[in-house]
Amino acid sequence: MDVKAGPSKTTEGIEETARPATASQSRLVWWAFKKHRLALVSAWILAGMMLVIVLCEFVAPFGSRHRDAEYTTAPPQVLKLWSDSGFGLHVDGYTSEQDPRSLRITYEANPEDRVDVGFFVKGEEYELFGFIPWDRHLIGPTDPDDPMYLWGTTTDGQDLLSQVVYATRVSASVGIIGVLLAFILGIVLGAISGYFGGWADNAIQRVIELIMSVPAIPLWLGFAAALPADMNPVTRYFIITTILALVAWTGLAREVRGRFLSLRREEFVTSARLDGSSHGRIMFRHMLPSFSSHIIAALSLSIPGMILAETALSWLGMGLRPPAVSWGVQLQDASKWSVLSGAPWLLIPGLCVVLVVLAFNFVGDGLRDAADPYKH
Amino acid sequence: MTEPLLEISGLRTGFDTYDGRVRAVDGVDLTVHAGKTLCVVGESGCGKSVTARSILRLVEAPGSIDAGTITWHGGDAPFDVLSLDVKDERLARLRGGDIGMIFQEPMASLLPLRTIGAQLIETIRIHTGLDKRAARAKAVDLLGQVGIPKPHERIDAYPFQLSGGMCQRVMIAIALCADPSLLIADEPTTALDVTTQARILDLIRTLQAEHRMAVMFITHDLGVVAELADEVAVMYLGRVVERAGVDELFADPKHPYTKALLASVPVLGRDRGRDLPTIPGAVPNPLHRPSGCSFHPRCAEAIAGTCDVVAPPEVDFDAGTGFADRRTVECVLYADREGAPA
Amino acid sequence: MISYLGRRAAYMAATLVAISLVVFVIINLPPGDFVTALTAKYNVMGQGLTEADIAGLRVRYGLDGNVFEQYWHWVTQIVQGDLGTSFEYERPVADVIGPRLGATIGVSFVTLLVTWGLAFPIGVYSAVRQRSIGDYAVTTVGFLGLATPNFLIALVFIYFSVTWFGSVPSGLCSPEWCDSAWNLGKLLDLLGHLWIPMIVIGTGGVAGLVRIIRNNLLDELHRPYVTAARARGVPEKQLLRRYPLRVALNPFVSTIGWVLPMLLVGDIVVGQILGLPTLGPILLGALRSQDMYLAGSIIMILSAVTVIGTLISDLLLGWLDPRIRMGIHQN
Repeated sequence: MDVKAGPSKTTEGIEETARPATASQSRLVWWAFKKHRLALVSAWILAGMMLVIVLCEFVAPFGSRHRDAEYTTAPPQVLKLWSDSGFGLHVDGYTSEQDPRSLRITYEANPEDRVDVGFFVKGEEYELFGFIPWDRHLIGPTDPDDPMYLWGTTTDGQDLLSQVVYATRVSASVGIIGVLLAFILGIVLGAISGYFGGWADNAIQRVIELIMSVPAIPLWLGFAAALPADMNPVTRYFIITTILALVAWTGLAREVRGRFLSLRREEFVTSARLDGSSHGRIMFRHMLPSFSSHIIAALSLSIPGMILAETALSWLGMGLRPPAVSWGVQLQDASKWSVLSGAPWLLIPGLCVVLVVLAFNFVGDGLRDAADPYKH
Repeated sequence: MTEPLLEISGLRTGFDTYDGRVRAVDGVDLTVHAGKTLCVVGESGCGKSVTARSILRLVEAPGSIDAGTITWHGGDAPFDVLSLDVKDERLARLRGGDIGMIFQEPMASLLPLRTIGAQLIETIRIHTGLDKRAARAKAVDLLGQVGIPKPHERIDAYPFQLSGGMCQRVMIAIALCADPSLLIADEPTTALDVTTQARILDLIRTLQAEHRMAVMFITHDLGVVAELADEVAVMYLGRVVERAGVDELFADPKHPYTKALLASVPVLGRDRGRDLPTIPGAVPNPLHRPSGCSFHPRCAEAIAGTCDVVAPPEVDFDAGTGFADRRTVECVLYADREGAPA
Repeated sequence: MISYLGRRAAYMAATLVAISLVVFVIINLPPGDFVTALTAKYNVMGQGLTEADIAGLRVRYGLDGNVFEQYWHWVTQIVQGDLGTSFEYERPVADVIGPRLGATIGVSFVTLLVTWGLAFPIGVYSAVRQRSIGDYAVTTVGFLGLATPNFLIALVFIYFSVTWFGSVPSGLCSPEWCDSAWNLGKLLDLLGHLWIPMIVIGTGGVAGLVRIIRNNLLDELHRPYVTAARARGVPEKQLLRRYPLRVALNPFVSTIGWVLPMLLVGDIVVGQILGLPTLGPILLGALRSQDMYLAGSIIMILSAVTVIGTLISDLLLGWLDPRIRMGIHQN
């Protein structure tokens, strides 16, 4: 009864290529994917990012509210293994000097002031996964009150590295959750449109065309700006994510529809129908699995757009707002050129954006190519 | 016997894939004689199309021609097409000038965004140097010749406004525009329905007589072979396994593969009420070519210990008669025949 | 062609109506309306308004009826060119926007031309020379360009500009030229100021377009019609120009729809950083202070420009592709 739709469809084409005749589709896709070295590296980067998202309190040397008024806009430190006082992982502390006229404080590394650094050090307490109380941090100063700012500090005197770690959780999850929301809408409407065709297809397609012809970003801006300024950050986070998803589902819906359309007349679908399977079962148990790699590829390729949109919105002050911290919020710090010229490390969150967006793009491209093993 | 027009010798064409190099054409020798029709027949994937494309150097990356010579005798002096520079004028004259070519998918072979007239006139002007008006007049004339009704109107039609059969006629008109001495037809009727197929075949035969051109016809359809061919070459997995005049081939097939092919064609009356014989298995992946004779796993007459080990010899039945290479078979079964090479 | 034109135009009208609905929703999303805000403002200034005053204001601003009447009032006003009143500027929206609309459209248009002018040859080169060093370079830069938010490019630009030249070029003209009449010097000055916004706004567009051209052309280069044309002796350059490029031009033309909004939004960002006299900074200010008539009008205008851009690209497509012109669906 439970016909494995996907594999049976592919194996028929493979028989000619002798060797992988018995491989399942996911196997095939994985083999093809492994040949894209860039995609593979990107997949590892994304895996690392996922770890950071899950374990961010542990990965960040300092807590999210940690603020050191003594060191504002301090430059990044370099990890060292050896100094005059002996062997051991450490960074140099700072000496500061204030310009009497501009009142600007400049920091220099001070080799005299050794700050010992260790792994799994005791630091600020937190709750891992939201319920396991713990106080260890992956890396940090052995004395939690010492300054250890590997990526420098923000204009508020917060540790940039810790802040970027927290921002990763927010920014990346906006992309992922947003795409999942868009995906639910897209897959339901796309499936109806492609599977049933007829007037339902026509109506849904017209709506999609209409939404697509409305320029997305001004609308995002408009919606986001209409939100009350004093909204609770969590609510704001979900509303912003939903707004992004509401505009982004159309592309996915089109992709899904196209796939359903092309499968509608395949024999395994007809036979499932003759078996008396319900429409829902045929659509989501038989047809959907047979192009799941395409869907994953499409999802992976939609995430960058979400992340970039959130970053731009937040940077413009229309998206997430402090105390919420995302890459876009962080980059606001860097938008005054008087600040930026003296503190280029404030652009590090921007590098994260580029890296993660590239990684999602490469993984998506790799998957898309791999999903069609016969194309090449 | 007439003059050879085109001689292919030792042609090898391969394609680079992820899993290694596929030798699609693996040492093919063929001769097309002036004014005659050579049919190249074989299952899909046997390399017949790649052979045809190699003649005009149309093989695209990741494919490339590895070895062999293709000698053109149609000009003032014979030359090897494969050794020409891509920019050589002789190659330019060959493509669409001395050799016309038509393809399997007539509709896809024409650009949908330009009228058939534009594409026809363009080719006429490239090869004849006529001015626009004269070229258009010639185009209308050619469209009439290939049996397109109201050619002066249809000349401004777009390919998607015509049927597949009409598009193939347009392709034929384009191929004829410079009075070629050879027409290469790469499965030109495969994508068409049966009636249209018959009409296109008639057209090709008529035009061949009118223009006194040779035809190299690629097909998998033995019915078409019987109808058109003077000579036949049977291909299997990148090699020519049997070569014969059309009557000899149908009367006395030698190679087990040819025999099996002929046996699988239904004959009206004879085959009533019985299952048609089929050739067991499928054409193997050229990446994993069987050892010895590549047909042996499917061959009913295979000799264990020989066919799966030794590459079969090419037996020439006309050796020493002055008609060398007219009737050949690549099979051990005939290795001890009279006239076989030592 | 006529029916195609008609269909596209009807489609554009429907889209504009849909956009106007959405914009109307946006305008009305924040609690309270224009008159409540005005009343609060007068109260702060110590000039209390009577109920009658307020009712009068509501009638004047078309806020007295139910939602549908309000929408109708707003739409008819827009059609007549009255975009409402800006709360912040206390002036008609049209007066606030007017002077800046020209600069916005100017900058966007020049950027659009430059974007296309760059993207087309680069994309074609990259596809024709697939897997060459040049192609790899183009693809790499393209990936980076698509992955980098344009404000980040602007920030990087500013950083290097400040560290190398000690200042940031801002505005569209230097003080000494701003008020002078048009002459060569002013033009050169303008160009000198324009290149940074163009790079910042255009990078994403160029990267996206190059990718589209490259992928489409790569698809087309191996179609049967290309082989067939080569087989009949069409010389390579002519072949490329008359066959696959003609087809690859279609998706290129249909990109106006998304390139235009991309440029306009780029303008919001760049205008903000580089202090350009364009609509961007005004829109941003209006959104921040919830000056919704002003913001709504600007969004409406940006959307309308986009929709018109899409219409133009549809018309171009119809002109380029007989299948579209004749209403024949490509599978």
